[in-house]
Amino acid sequence: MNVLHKPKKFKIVGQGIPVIDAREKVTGSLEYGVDFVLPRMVHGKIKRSTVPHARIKRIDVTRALALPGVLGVVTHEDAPGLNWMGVWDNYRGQILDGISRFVGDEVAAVAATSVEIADAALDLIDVEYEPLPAVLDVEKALLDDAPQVREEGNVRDEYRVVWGDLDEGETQADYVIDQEMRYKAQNYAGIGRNACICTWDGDQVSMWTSSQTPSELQTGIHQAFGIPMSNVRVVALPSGCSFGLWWSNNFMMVTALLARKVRKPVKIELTSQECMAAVKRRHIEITRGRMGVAKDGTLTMADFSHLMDNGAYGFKTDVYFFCCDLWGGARNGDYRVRGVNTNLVTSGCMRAVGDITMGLAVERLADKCAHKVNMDPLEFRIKNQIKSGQQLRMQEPRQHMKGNLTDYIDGLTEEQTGNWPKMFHLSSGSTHELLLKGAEKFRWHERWKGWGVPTRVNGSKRRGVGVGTGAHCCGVEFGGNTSSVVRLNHDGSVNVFSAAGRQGQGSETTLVQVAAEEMGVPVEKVSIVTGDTYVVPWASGSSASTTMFRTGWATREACRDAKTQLLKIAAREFFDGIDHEKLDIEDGIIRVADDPADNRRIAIDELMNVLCSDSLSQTSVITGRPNGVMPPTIAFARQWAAQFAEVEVDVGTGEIRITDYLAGQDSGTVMNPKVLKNQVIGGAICGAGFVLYEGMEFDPSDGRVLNDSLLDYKLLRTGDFPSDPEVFFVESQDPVGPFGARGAGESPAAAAGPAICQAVHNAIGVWVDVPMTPETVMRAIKENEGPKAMAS
Amino acid sequence: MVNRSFEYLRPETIGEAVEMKAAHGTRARFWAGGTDMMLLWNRREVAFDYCIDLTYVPALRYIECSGDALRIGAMASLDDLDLKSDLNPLAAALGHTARLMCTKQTRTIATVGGNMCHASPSADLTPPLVAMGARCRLLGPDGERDLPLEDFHLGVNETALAESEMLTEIHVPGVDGKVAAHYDRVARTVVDIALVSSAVFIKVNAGNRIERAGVALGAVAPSVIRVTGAEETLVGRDLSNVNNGVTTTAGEEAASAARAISDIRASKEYRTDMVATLTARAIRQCISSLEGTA
Amino acid sequence: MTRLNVNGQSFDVDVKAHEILSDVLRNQLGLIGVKVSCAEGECGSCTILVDGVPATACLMLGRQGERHEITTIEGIGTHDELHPIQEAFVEEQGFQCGFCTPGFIMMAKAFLDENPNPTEEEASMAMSGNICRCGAHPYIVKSVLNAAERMQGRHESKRTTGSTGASA
Ligand SMILES: Cc1cc2nc3c(=O)[nH]c(=O)nc-3n(C[C@H](O)[C@H](O)[C@H](O)COP(=O)(O)OP(=O)(O)OC[C@H]3O[C@@H](n4cnc5c(N)ncnc54)[C@H](O)[C@@H]3O)c2cc1C
Ligand code: FES
Ligand code: FES
Repeated sequence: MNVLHKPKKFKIVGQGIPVIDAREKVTGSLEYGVDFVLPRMVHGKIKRSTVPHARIKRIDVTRALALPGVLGVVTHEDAPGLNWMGVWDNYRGQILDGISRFVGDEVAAVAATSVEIADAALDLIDVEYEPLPAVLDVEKALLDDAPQVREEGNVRDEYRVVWGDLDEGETQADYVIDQEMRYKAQNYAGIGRNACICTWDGDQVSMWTSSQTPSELQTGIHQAFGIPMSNVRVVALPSGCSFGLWWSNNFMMVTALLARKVRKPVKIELTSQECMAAVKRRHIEITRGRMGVAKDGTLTMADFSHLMDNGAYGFKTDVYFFCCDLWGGARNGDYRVRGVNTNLVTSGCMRAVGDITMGLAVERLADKCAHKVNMDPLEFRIKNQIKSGQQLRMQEPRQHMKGNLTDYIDGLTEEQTGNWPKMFHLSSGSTHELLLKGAEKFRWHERWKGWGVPTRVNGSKRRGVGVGTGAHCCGVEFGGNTSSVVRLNHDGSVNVFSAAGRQGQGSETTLVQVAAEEMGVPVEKVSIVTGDTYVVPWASGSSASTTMFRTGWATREACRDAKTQLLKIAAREFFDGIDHEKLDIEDGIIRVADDPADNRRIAIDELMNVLCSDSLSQTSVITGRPNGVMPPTIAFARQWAAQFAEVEVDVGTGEIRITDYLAGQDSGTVMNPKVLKNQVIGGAICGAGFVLYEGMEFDPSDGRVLNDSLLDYKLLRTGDFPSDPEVFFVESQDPVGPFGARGAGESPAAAAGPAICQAVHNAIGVWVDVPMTPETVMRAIKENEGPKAMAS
Repeated sequence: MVNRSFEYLRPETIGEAVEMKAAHGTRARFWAGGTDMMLLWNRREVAFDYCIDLTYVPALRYIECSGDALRIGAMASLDDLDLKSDLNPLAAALGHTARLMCTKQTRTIATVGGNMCHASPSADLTPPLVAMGARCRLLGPDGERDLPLEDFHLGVNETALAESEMLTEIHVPGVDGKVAAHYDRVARTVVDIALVSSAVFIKVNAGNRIERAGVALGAVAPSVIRVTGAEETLVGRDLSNVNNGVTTTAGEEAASAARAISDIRASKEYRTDMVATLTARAIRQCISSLEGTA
Repeated sequence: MTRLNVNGQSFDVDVKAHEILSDVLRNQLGLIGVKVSCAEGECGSCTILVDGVPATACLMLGRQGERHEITTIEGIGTHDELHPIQEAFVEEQGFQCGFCTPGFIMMAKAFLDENPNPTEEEASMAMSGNICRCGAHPYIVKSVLNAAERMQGRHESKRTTGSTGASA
């Protein structure tokens, strides 16, 4: 099987073409979930719990039903046994089950002829709660006598990555340093909100909503309602900024339940407060770690124990921490993760899950080790981080799903594996070249003055520089694979059908570029359908940086399949039975490759016309699909980021300003530099926000979200980030990804925190807890009796 | 209550507005820019039957200097303050303050009167206006009152407004001569509510001796705090005598006057420490602009 | 009936006293380019121009639209005839998901009308009343500067070619 990428000169790959929906976006005509309407549609609203943990003793909806305009109400009594599971264990439970597990949990829903009536009816639903003890603290939730949030218990099995021998690592170390880091939950705080519109027609269900994961949402509805997948149509509309928020969410299931009850199209549109306090968030996390370092700067051991809270309905065992691969040069390692439930709003996979948190802890501890042996952070990274071809550490994920990856791979036939890259070894790229190139561009060696030494002091303002690195996967398997189908039309145009989501990452455009390159047609001739499960093949959604690597691979393979079919016919009909592999397509014209003297030419549309009128061929279009099996990418592919930051800290107030930024990215071949640089900087800003200001505050008495609006959940604005950051790419081509491309969106978010935190440390000489709000900075300075000249 | 609504009233003169308010009493609320009102309404934190929209009363919207006073109509927007920054040094300080507030597209709606009447402890305009010695004019069916702004703010969301009174104007007397004011605050992102703030006003005589000083703090008490101790530290000194020792002392006075509390934005300790820093900095800022004009 | 003048046309609409202007524009006039995210004045997605001045439609009553000229993104340019600011956003890719984009473009319009020749710093501060969670920040600022050039007829379209060494 031919899956391996052979580099060649590209025509479309690498072009910074505008994204294909650019005009719709700048004219405001793109329809998102909130904009979508259906004829005869009615409106739904969700009744949410006011208590953190309780059994519903009685729920009386008669007063609500009596309100003029109310069409129906659903409660847990309408949902017996309607269980479903969200993508990557981000949700597991019944649609409504008569237990409130957090303040804001769904208790009932009303459909009415207007939003206002539905809203008013919520107040007329009488709920009597039987309070249960609640657990609002992630460490307390671990205890044996803690209140249990779920039937399955609070604590998930520990997930563990181990290599070498920690004791040996400790013996080899000259210094062992330990550290604990605590993270507040980051709020997705998506700009855009969401709505879900659902209608039942007999036992056919159709749903329109903004989602990154149309197929998985289809599966969820199938699971919950027990209807065949063929009866479930999900149309995933583009979403506002998502970062993993809009996958398959329980409010969508509630909409389906309500639509089934009232037998009319129902729209539930969430308010901003609902989006920020009742859907999903990043986990609260705690990382304890120890690292051992030898005097020559070799990391001898890495020992990390990580705790994360799943909130009420998350069920994850781990957070996908590819930082253990990034720092895989450590001779011995043991990384342990535990997931635990709390009576707080559900948490799930937010952009760079695990690597933005645990990764920051690992980077910071590594920095402390480098400091201890007085080594430049850049040199320390080059010395201890993984290089292409070396063994990966994260080897056997998702045991609980489908057996372990080693057994799975061992069981594959040769036909299946073909010439896949070496399993459990890094296939391409690393931080090495990024660090070297970045150091030169940033003038690192000139600007870095040593650990805890500012580059400039001006009154109370101190500047410092820092470097940070990040890694993440390029898609994860076992949740289901990915596919794409292409159709070649009479006029030589191509349709791509792919279950990718459209959350602004630009994959509708980059997938079109993949298809156009492979088919040899201009991009204008390719059009893509991304979200409609009636036509797209099942694929794991646009999550875990999967789309370019895996769906892109599938799209290219599908194009290859269609192209082969086409060229075989061309060879037979127009090129005297020449071996079809000698033919190629360029700009929609088929000709003999590598033989300029041969002037035979036929355009795709001409050939397609012949094909249609040929009674023997009996076909009107050519359809292509991947012919082979996609290798398990988690076993070899990673994306890399190295970022450099300069900050200015006001030691009188603790305010931090980012004054300069450089971001290097190795995601293999760059499909579209405009799309990629936006992903890189967008990631950096997400990571920067996380370490500077972002953190959810929960009421200690009942766990409700206190900062459920942007007034007190602070996001970085244009004035808070340098306007002219530089982005550079290292393109270490991947042997499997389409044209050598890999995943991109998440490692940049992981690299930002370490770079900014280190820069702050270098500016003021102390490490600051995150988020580094002005107050936290001042506290750190005070506690460490930092710079003596506490300027006022 | 399905019909959770209100009646919309649109006066076009100050007289009409006052009449409407008198007619409906507590069942009516003034709607100025509505940037506070809309949030309260949407979050169901306010209930009323009549909304008196003041945006169609042109007579309430002005910023001008007349005689020795700076006069600001209650319906002047925060953006108007920014645009009128070049009127005089105090308008400049208020313009600077306005630019720190809300966002441009909400400053065009939000009003000075609304900021005063909502009486939030973190309202940005209150400290500089109080430091400058601003007064406010209230108009009711029984006539007009004029009182120091300091006495207008009684507590969180509490003002001296009587049931049927409206705020018509803020005026700052005695702005002729050599004056400077500066307001600063600690915030997280470029758009934020003040975590803690301090404003300083200084007036010097011909001989550059400080004749009047005002120091006021925001977000460290239910309503604005005037730091008379710090003011006394400054009054009577030559500008050239205001050294680091003096600013630090004034800062310490500010810190001891603060009655901060802890909330999700900041702790009591941090707020208290910061008023010292901010006050000292604001004094230095005033001095350097006065020296610049000297 | 409330008379609204929107994008150069007049409409008589039935507006309830408590109805919010952004809802009226979206639901009654079908102007879905008026995007509502926070509905609290923080994010700027719903920015419109009221007599040429930028305002958050989510904080205005529908009735307060009366006797003003309202402009929404739909009144700025069309799919086939983009406004130079829209062209600039396309070229610089000053967005990702695009939800915040109409608000940014309306703000940019108001800003450039006042300050046709801004510095990078000015543009960056002027765009800070809007929030882009996707993090297109620098490309939004570049879009505004690019638009300024276009509006003054000084702009030549840049071409991004090749992938190697492409930098922002
Ligand atoms: C996104 C956002 C950001 C904000 N940022 C800031 C900030 O940085 N700093 C800050 O200080 N504030 C901030 N605010 C609060 C608010 O914008 C200000 O308080 C604003 O100045 C209020 O003015 P308004 O005209 O909108 O008041 P309204 O909401 O119309 O009214 C507020 C109150 O005052 C009453 N009222 C108004 N005018 C009169 C009058 N003439 N006589 C009697 N009563 C009257 C009203 O009945 C109401 O009770 C912010 C608000 C929002 C939504
Ligand atoms: S929706 Fe109006 S400012 Fe956010
Ligand atoms: S482009 Fe998504 S929020 Fe700005």
